[in-house]
Amino acid sequence: MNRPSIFRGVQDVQPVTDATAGGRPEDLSPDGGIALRDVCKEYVLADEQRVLALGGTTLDIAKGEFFSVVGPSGCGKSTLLMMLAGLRTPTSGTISIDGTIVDRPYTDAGIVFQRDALMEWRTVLANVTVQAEVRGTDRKAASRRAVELLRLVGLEDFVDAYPDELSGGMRQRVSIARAFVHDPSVLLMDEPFAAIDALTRETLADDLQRIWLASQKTVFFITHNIQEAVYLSDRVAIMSPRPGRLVEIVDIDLPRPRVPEVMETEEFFRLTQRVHRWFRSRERAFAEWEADQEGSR
Amino acid sequence: MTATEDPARQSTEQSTPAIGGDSSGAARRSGMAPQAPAPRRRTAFRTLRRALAPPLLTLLAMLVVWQLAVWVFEMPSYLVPSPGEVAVTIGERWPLILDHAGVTGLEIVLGFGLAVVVGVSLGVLMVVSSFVDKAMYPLLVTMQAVPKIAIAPILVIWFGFGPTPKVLTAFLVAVFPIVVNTAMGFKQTPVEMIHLSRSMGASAYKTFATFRLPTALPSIFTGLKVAAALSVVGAVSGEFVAANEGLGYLLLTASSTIDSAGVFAGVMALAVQGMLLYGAVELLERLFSPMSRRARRLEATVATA
Repeated sequence: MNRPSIFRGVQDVQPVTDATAGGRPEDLSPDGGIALRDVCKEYVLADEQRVLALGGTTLDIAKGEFFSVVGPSGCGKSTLLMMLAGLRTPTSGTISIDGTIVDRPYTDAGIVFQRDALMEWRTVLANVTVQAEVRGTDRKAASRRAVELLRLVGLEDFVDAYPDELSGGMRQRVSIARAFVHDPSVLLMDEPFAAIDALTRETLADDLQRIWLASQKTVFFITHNIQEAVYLSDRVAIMSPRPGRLVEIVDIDLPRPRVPEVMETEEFFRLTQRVHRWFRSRERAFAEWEADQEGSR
Repeated sequence: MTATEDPARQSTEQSTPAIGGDSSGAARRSGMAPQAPAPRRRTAFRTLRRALAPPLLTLLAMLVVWQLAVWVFEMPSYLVPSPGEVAVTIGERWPLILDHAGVTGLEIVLGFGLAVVVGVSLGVLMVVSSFVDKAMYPLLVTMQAVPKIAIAPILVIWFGFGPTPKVLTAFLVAVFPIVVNTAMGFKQTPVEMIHLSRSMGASAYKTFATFRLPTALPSIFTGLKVAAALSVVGAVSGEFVAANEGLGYLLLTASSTIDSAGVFAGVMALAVQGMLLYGAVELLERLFSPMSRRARRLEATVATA
């Protein structure tokens, strides 16, 4: 029973932090994209009890890759995303995006949450261009780009509408346009379609694929919908809970652009099953995995 | 109205413009001018007329019933004066009422103003600092239960018969809804909005001005409107305890001589003051609250449809 302890996690990470202190680390995201080195996140609860939300995670996401994480609720997916955004700091380890160490809110990212967080008092267009207002960049250019993005998600007739005139799916489309408008290097999406009905979900996924193919951004996508993850991603990571860790990463080699028909192919079925087995008999799968880890040590 | 994602329905909406209020949204969205674009001022006037006509008619009906009741049941005027008598009394004592209304009005405005400044600041502090929140919130809830008017006599002992205890009573009554609604309003900002703002590299001030304040304003104004009505109650209660001028004093003296028409005249004057303050707050809300600007635009488009 040699589980990685919290304290060992901290010690393990030390050399990496030393290496980064001397300047730009050679091994961090050499081709841009996202790099995580032994990232741990630990919370201290009110009663001094420590909870390891994310165990030592090392991961490279290539520039322009669509990377998904699936896992049960509370497994630390959102914690990971918040740390990528620089909105939470890892307890230990380093995160870098495009060669920059993330140690404060990372401003070159577009974020989409499960809740759209639209500003009800602003029009659809003004909700998208708020990015330029807050950042102090050229508003006219942002406005042109916003109109273009809204057209891309099928909202060209709703530019001057208010959020309460839109359906849930349309609102989330607005927040996707908002996440793309400042041309960020990465997109961080935390269960963006979880609150959307199943039918709209599929068209939204297609919209997202279309914008992503046009822009070739790095996307970090969190979901607990396996089909959605396989349909959209280049790679799907499976995350286990307590402490959160990536137990398997599945390559998805389906050709692009993917069309809904791909979901009926044998290959798609095989891939979803491969992800699904982790959740069908979760206890057994994780137990086997742990035994494997012990054996290899 | 909620928009549909079904293109068929949308196109029928657009091809049959302006039948009923619902289609105006579709017309605006598709870039068409609303049917028969009326001059701006006329639109505003029509909106006002539509808003004011029902309550004014109801008021008129109530006055008629009141007058008729007095005639039919032959009420003695020292018990229930007719609306006509009250009107005559107001006319006769106009300078006197105006004098005392001035005193009370000043107390109300000062008390309310003080409550706004203290209430909003405290509300903001409670959101900014969790320590202030933890320290103040239980006290505020406890103080809510204390009838503030019961404090008025002690304020008279401390500050004498001048306007100060009345201003303070008005302040005490008005400050609670402002604090509570301000704090509540700021807490309504979704956490995702704050995350987004930080990821845009926004300063604390920018986050406040762009995201927090606009989400909080409707709630703050709700608090202000409740407080506006309450501050009138506070000032008059203060005058009831001990005063030698003001509408509360006028009411008491009229009551002690069984001068019902005089009492009614005083009540009317107080009502007008309350409405004026409420109206002023409402006007400010229309000017500054972004949500209400949006609501007004909806009203205007419905009115022209």
